[in-house]
Amino acid sequence: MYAYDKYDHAIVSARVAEFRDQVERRLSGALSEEEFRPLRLMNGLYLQLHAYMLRVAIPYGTLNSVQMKRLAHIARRYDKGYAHFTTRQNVQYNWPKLVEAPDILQELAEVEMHAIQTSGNCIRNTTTDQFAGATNEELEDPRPYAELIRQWSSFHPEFAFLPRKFKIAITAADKDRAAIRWHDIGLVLKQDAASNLGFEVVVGGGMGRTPVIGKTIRDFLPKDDLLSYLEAILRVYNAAGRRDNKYKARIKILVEETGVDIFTKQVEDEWTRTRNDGIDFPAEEEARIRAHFTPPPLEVLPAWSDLETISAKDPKFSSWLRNNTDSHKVSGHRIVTISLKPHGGIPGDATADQMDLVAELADSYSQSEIRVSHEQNLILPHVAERDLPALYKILNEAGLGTPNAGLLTDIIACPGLDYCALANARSIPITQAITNRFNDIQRLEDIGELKIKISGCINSCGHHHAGHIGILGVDRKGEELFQIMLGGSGDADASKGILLGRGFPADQIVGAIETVVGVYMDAREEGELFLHAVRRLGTQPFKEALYGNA
Amino acid sequence: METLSLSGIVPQRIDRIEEGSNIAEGQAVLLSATDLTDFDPAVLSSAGSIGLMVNGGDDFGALPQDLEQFSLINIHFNAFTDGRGFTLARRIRRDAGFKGELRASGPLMPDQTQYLARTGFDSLVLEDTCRKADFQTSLTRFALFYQSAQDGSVPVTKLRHPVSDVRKVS
Repeated sequence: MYAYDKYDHAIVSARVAEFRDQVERRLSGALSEEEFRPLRLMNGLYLQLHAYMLRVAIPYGTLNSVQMKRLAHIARRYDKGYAHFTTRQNVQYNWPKLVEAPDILQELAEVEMHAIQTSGNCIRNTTTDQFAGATNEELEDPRPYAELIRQWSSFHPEFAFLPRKFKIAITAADKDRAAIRWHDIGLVLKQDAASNLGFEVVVGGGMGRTPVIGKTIRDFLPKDDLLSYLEAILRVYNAAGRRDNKYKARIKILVEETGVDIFTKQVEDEWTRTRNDGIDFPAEEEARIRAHFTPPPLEVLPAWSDLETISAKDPKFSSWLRNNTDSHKVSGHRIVTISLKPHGGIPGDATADQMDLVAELADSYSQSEIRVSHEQNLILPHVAERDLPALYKILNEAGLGTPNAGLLTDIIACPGLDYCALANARSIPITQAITNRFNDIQRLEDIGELKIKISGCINSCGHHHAGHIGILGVDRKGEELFQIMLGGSGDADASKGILLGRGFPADQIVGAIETVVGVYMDAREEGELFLHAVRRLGTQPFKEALYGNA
Repeated sequence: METLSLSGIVPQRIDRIEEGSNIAEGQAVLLSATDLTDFDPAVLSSAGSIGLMVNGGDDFGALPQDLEQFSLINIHFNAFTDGRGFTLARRIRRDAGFKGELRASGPLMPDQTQYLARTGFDSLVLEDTCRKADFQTSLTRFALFYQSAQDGSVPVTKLRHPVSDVRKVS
């Protein structure tokens, strides 16, 4: 993985010193709260319902065991002993003190981490496939491009005060695990007819109040032109994006209001003028970065024959093997997903002890490497098959062995009204009620792949628009109601969920989900996934089951 | 009000001329595009020099042709959160090739001076002179940068690869 050189260290250290100075000026009154707000946000520091919240970047979801141990240490020393992994490959601390935030940034900088641009109206952490560099499904490891983008976008002088936040995601695999079509810019690595590498460029996706699936503005951008093309998009957006209404300020609205053809022409014109300005990093720099992502020295092993025997004797291990491991590009290895979705637990939360344990397991079994997924789980990307039984046993004893990756209880949920000042409704208790009800693994496996995503307000941090089942909490005259939508997807075939009807009170939502699942189970064809059944059936049978024919 | 130098140049002395005011012979005057068309050309030609006052949100394509006729262009930011002025500055420098003094004004924060310098501004009108030291400190906050910029600073990629050529030739 990428390691800082002296220049990266100097830049991140300067940032820590800058933020320490900003906090001191805020405390002395030299900076008003209004002025301090965008400055602290650009360092990931939010003011939440009860306290400050610090969001730390895990660039493109990759971290090593030393970094994970430091995150655990920060959770213990500055927080309440736990941390929360988010849908954008970040980690959040919910209880830091303002005066200690510079010290936390200092501790992060020592292990080559930061909170730069994890919030605010600027270019955020670039996200990617959590299986990058390990999966056999990709054209090339996309993380070097994400690192190029990280550097280009860090403190970009022109784009620090954009109309609104700006999120970029990149995938190099057909199966889109990064939900790139739901981002301000989505990049798909592909090859042209002559086998040159480049990107399909998708612009204007986003969730929030107005869910929009991104549109392709260029089928193939040569990879060497990536940064200059991104800069052209950002320049057009910064100049013309709406600033009169924060709910209309994302690039998706600009693209819709301008028209995708005109918008595309504006970008192409800008790029034609500036593409040779030296914005793109030299080839040597890409090579330098790529050298940090050389595949780990895994021994090519034959498929481990005992795995099947052990699996046959242990149904729990068998489920975990089926659901929580994926094929690796090196024979005899698997990619392991550690579920942070224990039934009855809080999605994405991990205790400091669990984080330390994952770091130790990464050292023992996964080349010291860990990934964070946008589905709020942790990944050990390089595990030998022969180590799987021992690894599972340790994970299971630590509450990290729930074999539910990709199943109904692998729920994405926002922090909701329990933490967030924007929320209308609680997301976490609803998640807990659902996962307590659907806690039988055999039943979950029978239901199959089903992604539930829950947001506590229309800002949709829980990605409800992209859920196979989306749940949106709303406030109706003081009562929390939960609306259900069906048919959303964040995959390569991205789609928006369709609202079924009026919302359900908290004590009825689990029953309503039971009803929806029941309709699917009765109507599905052989091997048909929930999402495909919804697309075939439409929403009518589900509406009838929930609301009757009236 | 004091004007802070961002690029090392000595800021010009120039008077903002409001509608209905007179221009004295030889006076350095700052005018909006509308003022330019309202004034008698003979009066304008008697001015010592003319600066153009624009808003950060103004459309670059709608600015007067031949920006080199102006000794100075002042981009006014309506709010410190409104970053359009940074892009407008870049376009005035890069696309129009403007070589004169580029000045920022408006309710900007001390922590923005380095961004201003890097997008091509030479000077900043300080609305709030009691924080002058903070504005100056911020100007040299970062010594290293990932991007090339209008201030000519050397990006770290150049430091990492001193002999590399630019990546594209066409």
